[in-house]
Amino acid sequence: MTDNSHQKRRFIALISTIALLLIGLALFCVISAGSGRIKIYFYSSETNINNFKSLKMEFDRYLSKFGPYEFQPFSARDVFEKQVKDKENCLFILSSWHYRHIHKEYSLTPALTGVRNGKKYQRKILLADEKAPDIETTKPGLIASAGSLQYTTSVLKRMLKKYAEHAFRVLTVPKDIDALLAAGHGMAKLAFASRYAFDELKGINPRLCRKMKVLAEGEETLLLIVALPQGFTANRKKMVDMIKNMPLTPDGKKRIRMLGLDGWQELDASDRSRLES
Amino acid sequence: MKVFKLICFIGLVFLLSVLSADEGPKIMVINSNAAVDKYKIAQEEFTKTISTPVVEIDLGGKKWKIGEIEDLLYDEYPDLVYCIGTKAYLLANKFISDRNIVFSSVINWRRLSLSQKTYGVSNELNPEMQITLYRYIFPGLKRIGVLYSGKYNKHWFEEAQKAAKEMGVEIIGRSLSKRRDTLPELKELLKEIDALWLISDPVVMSDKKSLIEVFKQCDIKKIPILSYHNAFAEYGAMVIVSVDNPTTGRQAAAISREVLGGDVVKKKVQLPAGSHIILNLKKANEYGLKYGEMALSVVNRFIE
Repeated sequence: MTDNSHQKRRFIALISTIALLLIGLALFCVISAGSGRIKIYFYSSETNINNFKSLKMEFDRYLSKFGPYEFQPFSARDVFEKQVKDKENCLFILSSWHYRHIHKEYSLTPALTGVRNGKKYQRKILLADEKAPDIETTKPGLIASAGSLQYTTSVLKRMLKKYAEHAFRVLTVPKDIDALLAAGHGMAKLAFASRYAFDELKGINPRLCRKMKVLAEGEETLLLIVALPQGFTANRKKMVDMIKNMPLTPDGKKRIRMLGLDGWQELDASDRSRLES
Repeated sequence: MKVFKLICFIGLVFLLSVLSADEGPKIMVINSNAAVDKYKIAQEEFTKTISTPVVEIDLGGKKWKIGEIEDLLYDEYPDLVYCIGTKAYLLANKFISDRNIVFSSVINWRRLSLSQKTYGVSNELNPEMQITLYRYIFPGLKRIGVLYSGKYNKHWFEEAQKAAKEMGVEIIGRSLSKRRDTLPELKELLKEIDALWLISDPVVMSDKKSLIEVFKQCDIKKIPILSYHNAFAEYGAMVIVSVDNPTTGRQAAAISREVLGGDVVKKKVQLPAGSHIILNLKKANEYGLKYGEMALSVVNRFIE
């Protein structure tokens, strides 16, 4: 009787140990499967639109067709940089301005650049009401911009060399069209936006655009950059092709349009030298 | 000895003046109810942007007695107070209307009594901005219908019609005097338009039942509804262009800086500078509507 109960207890202990081991193994599998995911980290210093939930849902749905990929958008530069530090098996989508600032520290290599209307370069402009005084004679007032404060002031300082030491006052708005409308309707003195956005607005509201004038123009810069860390060990070609081929399907095309692009293109030597100079 | 005392006195005066100069302006934020998301977001963005310590009061946080608020306002006596929501504004204006007041998130601010030192961000986008954004999404829109009551929205309608004309868009209106006119007028209007623009109007939106019927009739005829409030997403509105609340907080901070910096603020009550867009892609595909190539990049939320 005593032997029987002893055996029973040993049997239960054995079963419990096996169950625990199995649970541990399952957990290990789940965790390692998670770590096997390749993340695509996205942050754009040029837009402030809060559409991260939609972006994540749409890109995750699209990428899941190709393998264990996950899209991770960020709303703040510091959080993005902290999160991606020392990450190797991942891909970054970021502005060319941001890339130029971090590529050395993060050991990044550019793979693709965004294309909009067949062009891979864009230009930022500074606009104001047609009656506004010349920028050379009057200090700039409140500037509406969809870019981050760091990005906007950095580009403005190169654009307006006279005001390199000036503390620009910036009103951050969600997107370029908001910046243009804000200056057009007097909520800001100036608008900092892309030439492309202004041209688009001209087609919709020509009257408002006629009331605005371009005060200054920035240098040409590449659109969004797809970059890989130097330590990337997964199939680089497969990954880059997956992104590059997005415009070939209606589903992929829809997703890149959410980023304000209509395609991707490889960078040539001249692009790369301009990007990293 | 006298000279020593004089030097000490001058030194003390100098020290006090330096200390008081360093103190900076006193800013207070009064929130009508911080539990309301859009109020909370505006407050967060304001405090982040103004980057100066502020005294914050949440009127929704506890049961305040009027006397308590009055004491608090007089004790603090801020150089500038940012009021979020009508309740906050009414209290600040009642007790410290001689101070600079910046308001936001107030429905129909024109009914408020304003002082020389009142500034604000209105809660409504202007019609021209809305039409611009609707056309950014759907460039093919040419004839937009509006139901409105002459009593409340005649001026608004005329302004919208004028702005639309400049963009090559025709606004076709039906002025209602009684709520029972809504459906018969809508049925007539639907024959002439590409989209219905649902505006905030007490006669048109008198009850939920007729609102549901408006959506139903438009859906039968596959006429998209353009609107201004996120709440209409669940009814089936095609595009909703509303005010972006974080931008409102930043805009209030920008106005506050100008006021405290002694700048002349030309437009005392400004239009909101940021927009928030919801697009019902499911319905757009169902109706066979073609949206702009780059429209997807300006949408905050999709309904699919």
